[in-house]
Amino acid sequence: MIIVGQISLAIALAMAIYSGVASIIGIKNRSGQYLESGRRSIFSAFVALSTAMMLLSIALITKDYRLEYVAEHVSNSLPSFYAFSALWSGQAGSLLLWAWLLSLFSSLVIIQNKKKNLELLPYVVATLSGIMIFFVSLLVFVTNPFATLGYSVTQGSGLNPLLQNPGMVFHPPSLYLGYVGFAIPFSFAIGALITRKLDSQWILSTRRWTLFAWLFLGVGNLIGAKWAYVELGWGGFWGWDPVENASLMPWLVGTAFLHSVMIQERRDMLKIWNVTLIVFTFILTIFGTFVTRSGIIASVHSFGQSKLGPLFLSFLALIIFVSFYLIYTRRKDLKSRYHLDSILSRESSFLFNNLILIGAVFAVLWGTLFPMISEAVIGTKITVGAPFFNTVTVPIGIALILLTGICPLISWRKASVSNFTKNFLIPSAVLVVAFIILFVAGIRDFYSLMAFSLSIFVISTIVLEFYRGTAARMKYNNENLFNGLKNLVLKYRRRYGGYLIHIGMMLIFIGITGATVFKVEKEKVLRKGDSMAIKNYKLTFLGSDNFKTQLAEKFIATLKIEKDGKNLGIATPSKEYYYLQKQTTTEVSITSGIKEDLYIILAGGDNTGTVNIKAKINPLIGWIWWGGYILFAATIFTMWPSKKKKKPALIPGKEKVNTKNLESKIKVKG
Amino acid sequence: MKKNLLIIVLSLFLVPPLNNAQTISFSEVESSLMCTCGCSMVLNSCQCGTADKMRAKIKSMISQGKNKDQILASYVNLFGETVLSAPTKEGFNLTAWIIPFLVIGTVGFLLFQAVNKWSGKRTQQFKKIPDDLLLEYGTKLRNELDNFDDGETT
Repeated sequence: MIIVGQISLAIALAMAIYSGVASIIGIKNRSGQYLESGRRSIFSAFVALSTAMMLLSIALITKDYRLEYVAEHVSNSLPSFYAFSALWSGQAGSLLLWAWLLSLFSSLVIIQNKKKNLELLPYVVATLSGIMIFFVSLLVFVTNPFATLGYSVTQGSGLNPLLQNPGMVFHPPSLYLGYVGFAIPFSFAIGALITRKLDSQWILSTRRWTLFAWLFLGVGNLIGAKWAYVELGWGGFWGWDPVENASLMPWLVGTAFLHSVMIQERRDMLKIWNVTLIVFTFILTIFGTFVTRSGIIASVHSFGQSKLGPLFLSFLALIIFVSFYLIYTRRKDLKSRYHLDSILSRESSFLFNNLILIGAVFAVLWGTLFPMISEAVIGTKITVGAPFFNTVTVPIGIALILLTGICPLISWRKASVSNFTKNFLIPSAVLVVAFIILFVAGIRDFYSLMAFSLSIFVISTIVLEFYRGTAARMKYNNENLFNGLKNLVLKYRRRYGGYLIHIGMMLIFIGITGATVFKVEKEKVLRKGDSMAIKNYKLTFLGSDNFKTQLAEKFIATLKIEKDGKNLGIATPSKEYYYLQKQTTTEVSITSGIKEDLYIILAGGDNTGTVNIKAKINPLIGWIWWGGYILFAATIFTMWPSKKKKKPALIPGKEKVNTKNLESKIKVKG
Repeated sequence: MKKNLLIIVLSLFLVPPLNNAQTISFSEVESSLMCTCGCSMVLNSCQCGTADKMRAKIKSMISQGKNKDQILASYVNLFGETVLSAPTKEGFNLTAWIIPFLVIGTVGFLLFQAVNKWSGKRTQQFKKIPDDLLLEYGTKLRNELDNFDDGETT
């Protein structure tokens, strides 16, 4: 099995190299045979990498300790579910997942474009092969998942206990789907730059891939946030760790790209900006992997630092050089023929939306790199943690919420005053009323007031858009309310799906604001029978228990929870000591509700019957997860292909119409 | 009427704000320090033994009457500036706070100027079009829009 795994990786590398070389020869010699064999070798690479993935999975599940990777990441008592997830818990496994996903996506792109984008495809295949060569080379020469241990062991080191959580099973693959997914629009952009076919075709061809990558990167971040909330035991969900930042940045640039491509599609503008954005998005995905794997910046995620840093840095430099060389040499082709008509237009509001998103990326990147910059300038590695990022990103986030409300309601090209007033009168009134109500309710923090009331403003603009569209259909198409709404959303899937995504985002913003600003915390040492109160909750300590399992020794406190005198049940926060890893973890107890979560941490305790309980009230935190569900469902809805309507022939019996005749008809009519 | 409005507005400020004053000093200090175990986590998010000891020490310093600055200074003396969870707002560290807003502000200003310039050019181009031609195109556009009932608008 080990030999087969190693041979599979070698074949995958050979196939990736051949695919790249054959594509380049095919392009140079205009040889269809070479191009076809280049495409086919991508399928072969996929088969070889799938074999490697399957063999490593089997080795992990069957605990084949001959392999170094298996011995380092699983143990005899680890359940199969987590043993399988160990595939992406270590460096070699996660790089194998990267390469396998890339081969899978590349194969799908080739199948999808069998009869279209024929001019671009050879360049796309060559670019994807180039990326694949890098990742598979790392697997073959630097960090081989099939490397053998060299001696025999009967027990592995086991999986990090913090990673033994369902969230961690889905978080890394979701992020990787996003990271690797962005390689597709990037490759098409490179193809478009080389061939100088710089119209909107490459964007339209990769729109669903971009949305797919954006979705999974966003969902991956949210799953990571939920995992941190449930598993790390500190009551927060986002620590602004460099690795978290590294996965947030490409998502933000991807968001900017998804918005600004609309201007290119409609107005044939911002070509250079769009191609630059997708290049940056891909660069940041590689940067993310570089930060995680190089250990250049101190991070809680540095589960495995290695010698991969310089290699990733070189690859990053190569991508930057090639991409920007192409953009520079194609700058004339990328020039737009049109300019913006007015500052008060949807185009310019999208531009400012892009500015804010890229500004947010810059702020996060600046904060992430500042420790290195300060060390270089003043000789001291200054720490940049959550307090910095919370302070800097909050005003940027508020500006973003405001633009989320404004952008969809402004007309294309130039908004008239009457149009502007018509669209914004009601939402602005809602904004003012929401602000006053929240103020009266006791919210004094300026940023929270703005975040809440602007989110309500955005939601009101969206509700108004649905109302107007449905009312128009009811009036002109004689549809009832249900059919009007249904047909509106189904017909303009992209537009109304986008609005639903915005609603999901607003719920996330509301949840983040509530949970960050209005959290309440209390800590108390309790003896059996003692109680502590936090807001309108009462916690009574009923007793503690100590027992052993195969994996760990557990110390559990049992508490009765009451809210306003009503019994809510029992909470059992615990501390767990994992024998193999010699590591203690904190398992929290969470009582969730729409309004707030009661979060109970067992901060300490002993056999004398005393426990130290830390309780937190996290207001509105559930809204983050619900916003995530809406975002996921709405993005799938937006991506879902519409039923293709058969276009009726303009002249009965004739499919093709002589445009000259049509023009003359129009003239006669006019 | 104005007097009543003033009373209403002023009375709004009497509503007590929502906050968590009971733990504010400790949590402020806790979130301003990094855990010193080497985990790269802010103290308020770390659950290790070192973090527990640090928290106990901070509580004892608070009970001794020390304020936030004094507690932070004692940790900086021991571990250097790296122990702070965010850069100070002085000297070179000030650039950490200023640069992001400076860049966004400058680019925003330049973008605003550029959009204004472009749209100004367009307005001038439009001015050159004779009125009768504008009227003709306007009528054509209106007719086309009247007949238009399909297509995405976003």
